[in-house]
Amino acid sequence: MELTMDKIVADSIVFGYSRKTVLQGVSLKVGQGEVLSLLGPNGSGKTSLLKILLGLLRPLSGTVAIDGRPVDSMSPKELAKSVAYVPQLHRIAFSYRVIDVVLMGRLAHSGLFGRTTREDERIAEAALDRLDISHLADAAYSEISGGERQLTLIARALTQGAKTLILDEPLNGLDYGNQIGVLEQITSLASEGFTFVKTTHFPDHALWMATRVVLLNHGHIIADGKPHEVMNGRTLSSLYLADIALVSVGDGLRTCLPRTVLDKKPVPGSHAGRSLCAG
Amino acid sequence: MSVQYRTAALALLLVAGATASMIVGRYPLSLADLGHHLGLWAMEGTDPKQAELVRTLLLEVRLPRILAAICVGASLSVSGTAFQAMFINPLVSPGLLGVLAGASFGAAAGMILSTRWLVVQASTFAFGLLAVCIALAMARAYRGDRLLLLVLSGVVVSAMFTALLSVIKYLADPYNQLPAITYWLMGGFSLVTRETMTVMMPLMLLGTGTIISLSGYLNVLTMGDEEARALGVRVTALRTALILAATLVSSLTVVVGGIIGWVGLIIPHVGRMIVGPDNRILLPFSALLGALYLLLVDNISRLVFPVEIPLGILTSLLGIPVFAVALRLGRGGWN
Amino acid sequence: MNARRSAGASLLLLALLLLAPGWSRAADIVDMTGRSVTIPDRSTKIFCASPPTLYLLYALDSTLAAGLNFPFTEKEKVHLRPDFVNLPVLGGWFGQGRTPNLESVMAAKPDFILAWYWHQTAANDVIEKTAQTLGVPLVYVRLDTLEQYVKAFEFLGRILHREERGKALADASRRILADVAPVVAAIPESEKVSVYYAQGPDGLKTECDTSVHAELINLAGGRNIRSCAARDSFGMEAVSIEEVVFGNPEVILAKERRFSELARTNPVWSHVRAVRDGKVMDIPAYPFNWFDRPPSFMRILGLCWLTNLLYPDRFPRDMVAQTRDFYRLFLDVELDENQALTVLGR
Repeated sequence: MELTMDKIVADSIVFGYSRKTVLQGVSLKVGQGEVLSLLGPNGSGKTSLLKILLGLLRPLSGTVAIDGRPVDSMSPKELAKSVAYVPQLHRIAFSYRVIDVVLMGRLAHSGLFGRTTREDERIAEAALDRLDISHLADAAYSEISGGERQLTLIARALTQGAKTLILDEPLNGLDYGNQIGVLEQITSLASEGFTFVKTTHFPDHALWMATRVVLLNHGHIIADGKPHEVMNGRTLSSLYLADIALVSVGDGLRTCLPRTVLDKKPVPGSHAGRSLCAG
Repeated sequence: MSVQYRTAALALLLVAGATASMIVGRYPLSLADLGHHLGLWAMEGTDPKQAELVRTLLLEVRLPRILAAICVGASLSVSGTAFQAMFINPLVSPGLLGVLAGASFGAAAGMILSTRWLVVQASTFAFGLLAVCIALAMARAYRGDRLLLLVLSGVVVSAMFTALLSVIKYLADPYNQLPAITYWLMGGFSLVTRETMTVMMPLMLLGTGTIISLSGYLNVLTMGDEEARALGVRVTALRTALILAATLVSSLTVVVGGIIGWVGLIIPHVGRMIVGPDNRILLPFSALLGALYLLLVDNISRLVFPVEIPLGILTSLLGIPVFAVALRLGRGGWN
Repeated sequence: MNARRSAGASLLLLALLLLAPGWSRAADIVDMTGRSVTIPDRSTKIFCASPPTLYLLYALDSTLAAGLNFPFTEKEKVHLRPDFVNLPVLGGWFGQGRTPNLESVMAAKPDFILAWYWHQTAANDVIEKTAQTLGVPLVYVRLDTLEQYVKAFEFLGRILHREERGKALADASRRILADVAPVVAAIPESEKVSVYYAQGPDGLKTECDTSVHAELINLAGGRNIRSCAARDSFGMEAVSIEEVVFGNPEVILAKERRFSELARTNPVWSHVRAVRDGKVMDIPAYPFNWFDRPPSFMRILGLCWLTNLLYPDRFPRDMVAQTRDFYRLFLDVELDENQALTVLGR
C-alpha cells in the first residue's frame, strides 16, 4: 500500500489533570489505509489519547496534525470533515430515526443554521446502503440491535466525508455475531482507503484485523508496530497483568488464550490437542 | 409527509381559533358585528357610537389579548422544547436558569418603586435577563460537567430571586401594592394593550424565530457535548445563543402576562407525542401547539367562570391532567 | 421602745411596698362580644391588632397606642400627629403579612390588646393564643356595621375613662347615620345610581354587591353593577373590561389614582358612561381610607360623601364644611378650604 501523507501525526503529547498525568510524551503517526488497534488496560490513557486526536481535549503540550494541518487551527466543521468520531454505544435520550442519526453527520457541511438538503439525504441513504442497513432507515435508533446501531454510527461517520475514523471500543456490548459483522465492514472500508484508529479491550480483535498495533500503558507507548511484531505472550501479559499466551492456529494466524486455560488437563473425550505451540 | 400535514393542520386550527376568539367575550357580539367591522358586509342603521364601541372592543381589548396568548404560548413552548433538548432532560422548563424568578422579582420591585407601568415592564425584563447572566457566569466559574453546573446555578439563582421577591412582598403596602403584586404574578392578559403588543409581538416572534432557525442543531446537542463537537458543532456558542434567545423571549412573556407556568414543560411532550422527537419538526409544531393551547386557556379564563381565573392557575390545573394523559398514552418520544 | 417602733415602721413600709402593685386596681369589663376581661384600671398603652382598631383608638386618644401596624406613607403623615406617626411599627394581624414580632410587642408593654372580632375564627385563634402567651388581656370590639362603630366609640370611651370624648364621637357618628338613612330609604329601586368599584392599578378588581368591602355603595343607595356572591372574605374579584363596558355604570369609584388617570386616557374605558360623564371619583384616603381597605370609622364620613355624590339633589351637603368638621372632631386636624378640597380629590 502506498503511503501518501500521514493522516494523523501526534507529537509528544502530554496530558493530565491537576493531580495526575495521563499521557507522558506520546508520539504516533497513522498512515492512510491503516487499521490501528490501540491496546491498553483501564487507566492507560487510551480514551484521552483518542479525544486528543479528535481535538476534543487539549493536550498540555505537544501537537496533533490531521492531514498535515494542526488540529487547533481547524474549525469544528473542518475537523469534522477530516476525522470522524464513532463513540461507544450509549443510550440516547430521544428515539430518533436511523436516517436522522446518520444525517447528523452532514452538519459539518451545512450552512449557518444547520439545515440539511435533499443532497444530504441522498448521501445519508448511500452511506446506509454501503453498510447494508438501508432497510433500517425509518426504524427507531433505540429499537435496533447493538450491531446495527454501531453500523449506523459508522454510516454517520461516512457522511461526514472524513476519510479517517476514530472508534472508541466499537465492539463493546455487541453479541458475537454482530461483532463479526462490524469487523467485516471495517475491513471492507479499509480496503477502500479509509483509515481507522480503534481502541479495544480484546487483543483478539487486533489479531483479527489490525494492520498495526500500539500498546499503551501508564501514559507511555510501550510498543508500536505490526501485530506479529508487537503482540506476544510477554508483552500482553505485562500489559494486562495476567498470564496470557498467544497460540498459533496455523497459516500465520494466532489467537490469545489465558495460560490457565491453555494448561488445563485435557478432559477425557475432548479433542483439545497438545500439539499447539505456545508462541 | 404525515408530520408536515399535521403541522399545517395545526396552523389552520390556530387561525380558526384566533378568529373564533375575536367573537366571543363578555360583551355580546355577533358574527354580524364582526363581519361588519371587517368590512365584509354592511349593516344598515348601525349606530355610529355602537360601531365605535365594537371597533374599540375588537382592536383594543380582544385582539391584543389574542395576540398576547398566541405569542406567549408559542414563546414558552419553543423555549421549553429547546431547553429540554439542550439539557437532555424531560423535566426542565424555560425557568430552569432563573429567568422567571428574576422577572417576578423585577416586576414586584418595579411595582413598589414606581407607579409608571413602563418602569415595571423594564424592570421585569432586565431582572429576568440578569438572573440568567448570573447563572451563566456562575456555571462558567467552575470546572465540571457543563450541563450539571448550569442546572445547579439556575437553581441557586432562582432561589435567590424568589427569596428577594418575598422580601419585596413583605415590604409592600398590604392594602394596595401587595394584592397588585400577587395578582400580577398569578398570570393573565387583562393588562395587555395594543401599544404593548405592537412592541412585544415582533420581539417575541424574532426570538422564537431565532430558536426555530437553530433547530437543526438541537438533535445533535442531545447526543452529548463531545459527540456534537466531533460532528462539527460549536457547542458552547450554540448553547449560549439558544439560552439567550430563550431567556429574552421568556422575560418578555413575563412582561406581557406575568408568570404562566407549565406551558413550557408540557407542550413539548405533547408535541413529541404527535410529531416525534426530531427537533426540526418539533420546534415549529410546539410553537403552534403552545399558541393554540394558551389561546384556549385564556378563553376559558375570561369566559367560563364569572370571575377571571388567573391564567397561571388555569395552566397548572389543566396542565397536570394533560401531562398525566400524555405520559400514559406514549413514551412521548423519550427512552 | 425606739428600736421596736422603727422595726414596726420598717415592717409597715415593707408591707406597703410589697402590696404596692395591688394598688393599681384592675377593672372587670365586658367586651363587645360579651366576654369578661380584666384590664388595668388606667390603661396607658394599648396594642391594636389591626388598622381598624388602631384608627379607632387614634380618634379616641392617640397617645394610648403602643405602636403601629405598618408605617404610614408621606401623604398620610401630613394629617396625623407626629408623635403618633413616629411610634414603633409592631405589625398586626390583618391577613397580609407583617405579623407582629412578639418580643417587640412585649417590649412595648401593652396593657391590653384591642382586636376586631372577625368572622374568620382562625384569625381570632392566633390573636387569642398570642395574648395568652404574652399574658396580656384581649378585648374584642365589633365593627361589622356602621352602627357598631357608634357603640364602639362609647364602649372604648367607657373602658378608657374618656367617656366624654367617646360620647362626642358616638353622637357625631349617630347624627350622620340618622341623616343619611331616611334619604336612602326613600330612593325607589328604579332610580338607584349604578356604581362600579374599581380596585387595582388596572381597575379590574372589584367587589360583589353582597360583599362587606363594598357595603357603602348599598348603604348610600347605590347599585353595584357586579352582582354576585363573594367567594371569600378577601374579595378582589377579577373582572374583564368587557363586563364593565357592558354593565355601563354611571359612577366609578376608583381606589387608586393610577387607575383613575388611566381611565381618562384609555380608549376602551372612554366608552364607559361614567368616564364619558366625568364621573370617575377617587376615593379620599388621607390619612385613612374613607371606603375600605382598611375599613375604619372614616366610612361614616365616606357614607356621607358617597350619598351626596350619588344623589346631590336628594342629599345636598356642603362636603367641604362636613369634611372640615369631621376632621376637626375625629382627627383633631384643622383643614383650610384648599386642603379640604384636596382631601376630597377635587
